Amino acid sequence: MTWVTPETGLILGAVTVPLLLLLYFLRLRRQPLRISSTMLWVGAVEDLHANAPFQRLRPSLLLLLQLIALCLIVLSLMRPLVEGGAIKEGKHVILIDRSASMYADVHDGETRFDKAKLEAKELITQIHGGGLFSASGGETMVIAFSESAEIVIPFSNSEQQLNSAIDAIDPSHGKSNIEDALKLARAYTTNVDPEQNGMSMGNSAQLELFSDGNISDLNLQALQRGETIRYHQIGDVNDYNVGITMISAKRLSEASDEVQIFLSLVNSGTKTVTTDVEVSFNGIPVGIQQVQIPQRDGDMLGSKSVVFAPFEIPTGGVVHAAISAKDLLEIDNIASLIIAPPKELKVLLCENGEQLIRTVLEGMPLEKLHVVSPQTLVSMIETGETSQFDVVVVRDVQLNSLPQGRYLLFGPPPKLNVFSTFVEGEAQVMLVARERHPVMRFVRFEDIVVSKGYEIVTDTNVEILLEGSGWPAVMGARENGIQIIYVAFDPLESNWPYLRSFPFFIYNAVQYLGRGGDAISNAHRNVGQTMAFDIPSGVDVVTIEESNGDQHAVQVDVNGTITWGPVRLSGLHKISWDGKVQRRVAVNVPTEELDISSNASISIGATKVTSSGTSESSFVQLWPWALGSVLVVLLAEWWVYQRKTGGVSRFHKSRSTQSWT
Amino acid sequence: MSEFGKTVHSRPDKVDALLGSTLMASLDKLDIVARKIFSGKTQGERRSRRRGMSVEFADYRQYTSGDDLRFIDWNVYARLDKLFMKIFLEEEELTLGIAIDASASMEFGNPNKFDFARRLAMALGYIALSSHNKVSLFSFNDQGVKRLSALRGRKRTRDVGQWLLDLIPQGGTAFVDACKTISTARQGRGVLVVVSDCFDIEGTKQGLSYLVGGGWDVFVMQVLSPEEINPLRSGLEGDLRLEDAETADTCEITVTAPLVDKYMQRLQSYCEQIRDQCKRVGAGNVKVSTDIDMEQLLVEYLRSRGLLR
Repeated sequence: MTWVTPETGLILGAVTVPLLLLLYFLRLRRQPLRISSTMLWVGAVEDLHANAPFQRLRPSLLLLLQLIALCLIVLSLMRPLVEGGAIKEGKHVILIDRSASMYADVHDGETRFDKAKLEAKELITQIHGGGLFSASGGETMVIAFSESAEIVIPFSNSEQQLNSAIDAIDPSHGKSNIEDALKLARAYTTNVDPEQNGMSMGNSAQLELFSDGNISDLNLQALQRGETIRYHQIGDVNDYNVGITMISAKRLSEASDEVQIFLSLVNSGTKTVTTDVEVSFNGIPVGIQQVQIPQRDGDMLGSKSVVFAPFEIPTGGVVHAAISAKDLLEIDNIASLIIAPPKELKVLLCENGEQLIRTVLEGMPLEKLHVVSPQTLVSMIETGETSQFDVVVVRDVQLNSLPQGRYLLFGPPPKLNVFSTFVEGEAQVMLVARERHPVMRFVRFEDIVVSKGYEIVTDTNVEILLEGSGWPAVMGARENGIQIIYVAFDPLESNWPYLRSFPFFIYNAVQYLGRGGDAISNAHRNVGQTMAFDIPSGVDVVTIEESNGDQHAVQVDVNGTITWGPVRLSGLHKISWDGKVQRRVAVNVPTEELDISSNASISIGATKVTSSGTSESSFVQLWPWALGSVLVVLLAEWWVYQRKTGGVSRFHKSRSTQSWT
Repeated sequence: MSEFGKTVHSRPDKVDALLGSTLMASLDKLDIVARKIFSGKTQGERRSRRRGMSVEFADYRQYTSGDDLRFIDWNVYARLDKLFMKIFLEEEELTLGIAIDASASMEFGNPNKFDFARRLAMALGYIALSSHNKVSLFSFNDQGVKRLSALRGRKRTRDVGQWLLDLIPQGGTAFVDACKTISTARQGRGVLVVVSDCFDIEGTKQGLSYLVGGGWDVFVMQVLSPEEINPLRSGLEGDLRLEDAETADTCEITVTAPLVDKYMQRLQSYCEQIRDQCKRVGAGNVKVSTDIDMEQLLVEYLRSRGLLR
C-alpha cells in the first residue's frame, strides 16, 4: 500500500485522536439529579474504577467505534493506494489485434476479436470510469492492426467515444503485423528531446496489447526506452485449427478444357484430423476426398497436400474448396480460386539474328505465332498492327517507341521512363528470384550465368523478378497501358538457352502477359495484398464489392488501371463496371494465421511479457472506501449509543427486583 | 431526567388521607406483639409473663396467709382438701413507640418514602391505640427529636394523624443522637418501630444499640422507593450529576448497565448489613418498598414477622 499524503493524515491523527481521548477524560455536561443518597452510587462507581483517570478508559464500544471512525478519516486523508487495476493517469494506447486468427471462436459464437474488444472496453472503464471516485487524468488512443494498422480513435478521455470507436472497428482477415501499430503509437506519444540525442522526454504511453500473441513480426520489434507494454492474452494455448493454406489450378497443356486443382492443408492441433475436402466449380461439386492431416510436431504444423483428378472446366468460373472438419477458425476452411476461360494466344515474335525463342513458342499451344523482322516490327508499331496480338516478344531489338500492349522484351531496354537510366552490366550469376510470381514459377535460376547485359537503375514502379549478383536481370513494369516483362540481357549472352528453365520462363511470361497479368495458377490473392487491374478504356469508376457485401467505388487512373487495397477480408471479391460484374477475385487467409494457439507470453525484442503482465504498477484509490466505512461506523456508533442510553433501560426493565416487600 | 424520584402522586393533607376507612376496618382485629416481658404502670390488655389478675389462667400455688380469697380454687380444695390459689397472667399496658426518619432523604421516590412512613406510622398507631396500648411517636433528623408521648385510647388517633401531617422532612438523619434521646426519655417498656431508609450504616449500628440497651423491643422497617431499588426500571438514564439530598455531596455517573448492576449489588449488600446488625442486637428487620399495598404489608408481612398478631 502506498500513501499519497501521509503527512496530512499523521498531523490530523496526532491532533484528533488525543483530542477524542481527552474528551473522554473530560467531564460531560451532566444533568443534575437530586436523590436520597449518593452513598451507594459512589461505591458503585468506585467498583467500576470510574474515578481513576486511566481506568476510565475501560473497554467502551462507543470509544472504540469513534476511534475507528477517526482513524478511517485520517487514513482517507492520507490517500492510500493499492496496486492493481489500470493506471489511470498518463497516456494509454490500446492495440487490438484484428488479424485472421482473432476470428477463432472463444465461446458460443463469440470470437477472440469480440472478446478483445470487450476486454478493451473493460480496461477503458477501469481507466476512465468510476464516477465521483475516478481519478482519471489520462488519455487513451485505440489502434487496430493486422497487415497494417489504423488509428481507430486518437487520444481521448471520453469513455463513451472510446467505447463507440472500439465497437466500430472493422474486421480484417489479414496476418498480424505490429510494426505499423507501434510506429503509429510512438508517433503520437513520443516527445523527442533534442538536447538528448533525440531521446524521449518523459514517460511514453502505456501500451495495452489485446492479441492472441500470433504476431508475425513481433521478434523484429523492440521496446523503446521508457516504453511499457501490457499483454492481454486472448484465446487459449490449446486452441487448434485445420485450414487450407494454398489452392492453385492448372490447365492441362494437352487438354486446355481440363483443370487440375492443388490444395495444401494444415493442422495446428496435437491430434491427427480426418476430414473431407470438397471442390466445387460455380457451386457444383466436382470432387471430394477424405484426407488425414497429421498433428503438429513442435513448431511445425501438420500439413497435407491434396491433388484432385483433372476435371473439365471449359469456361471461366469460381472454384471453391472446403473442408468439413469442425475447428475454431472457420474463415480458413474455405478457399477460392478464379479460373480464367481457356484462351489460345496470338503472339508476335521479333528476333535479331538467331531464332532462339521461336523454337520455344512453336512448342506452345498458340492460336497464332507471327514472326517478323526488326524492320517489319517497327513499321507494325507505327501502324498499330501490334494491337492485334496478345503478346509481342522481342529479342535484341532496340525499340524507340511502344504502343499500348503487352511485351516480353530481351536485350536493349525500350524507350520507357522506367527503363530510361541504365549502364552496361557486367557478368553475373543469379541470386534471388520472386519464385511465387507466376512468371518465375518452376524457373530454376541458380545455374544461369550472364556474360553481359544492361544494368537498369530501377525505381519503385519496377518489380524485380530475378536479381543477379550485380544488377536486376528480369523485371516487370506497367506504364501508360503498357505491360512489360523485361529481361535485361540477350539470352545469347548467357547460358540460359541451354537450361530447362528457359522454356518455362518463356511459357510463363507469354501466358501471364496474354491473360492480362493473371496466371491461371495464381488467380487468387491473400488478405493484405493489393489488387491492381487493367480496366478497358472509357471506364472511369469501378465498384469493388467485398465478400461481406461492402462496396467501394474506385477511380481508374490515367494508365487505365485500378489499385485497391490492402484487401481486408477473405472470400470472393467482385469488380463491376457498366452495371455488370466483370471480374472476380478470390482472396484467401494468409498462411501465417492458421496456427491459432494463443501464446501465454510474448517477446518483443529482448523483453518477455507474460499475459496481463506489466512493467509498471497501477494503483487503486482507497480513500472513497474509507470514507464510506466511516459512515457505516458512525451509524453503528449511533445505534450503540441509542441502546446504551434508551434501549438498554428497556432491556433491563424486565429484570426482577429481588425479594422486596 | 429531573423527574426521576420526584413524587407525582397527591400528598396526604388530612388524617383520613393517611388512614382510610377500609384499611382502618381491616386493622381493628390486629394487635401489637412484644417479644419481651414488659411491666406497664397501668393494667392493660397485654398478657404479661408476670402472673396477675387477668382472666387467663396460668398456674396454681399454695395459699399463704394474706392472699386474696377470691382466687382460691374451691374445686381443688374439695378434691384435695388443700387451698390452692389460681394464678392468672397479668394483663399489662404496652407502649408502642414509632420513630419516623424525618430527614431529607425520606422526601424521595414515587410513592414517596416519607408519605409511606407516615401512613405506616398512622396504621401502627391506630392498631396500638385500638388495643388500649400506649403510643409514643418520635420523628428525628439532625435538628433533633420531636415526640408525641403517652397517647391512650382510640380517640387519640386523630391526634396521631395530625402530628404526622405536621412533620416536614428536612436536614440530615442524626440517627445516633435521636436514638440516645429516645432511649433516655423512655417512659415505659414497649415496642419501638423505627421507620427509616437507614442510609447511615454506622449510625444505624450505634443507634440500635442505644435503643435495645434502653429496653426497647426494636423493629426496624427499612423503607426504600422503587427508584432506589431498581433505577433502570424507573427510568434512570443518561449522564447525571447526582446530588445527595442530605449532605449535598455529588456523584457523576453515566448510566450504564454495568454501573446499575454494581449499584444494585451494593444496595443488596447494604440491606444485608442492616439486617445482620439488627440480628446482632436482637432487633427485628423488614425492608419495604413504598409501592407495596399497606394492608398487605400489615396483615400479611408484619404478622408473619411477629410484629402484629
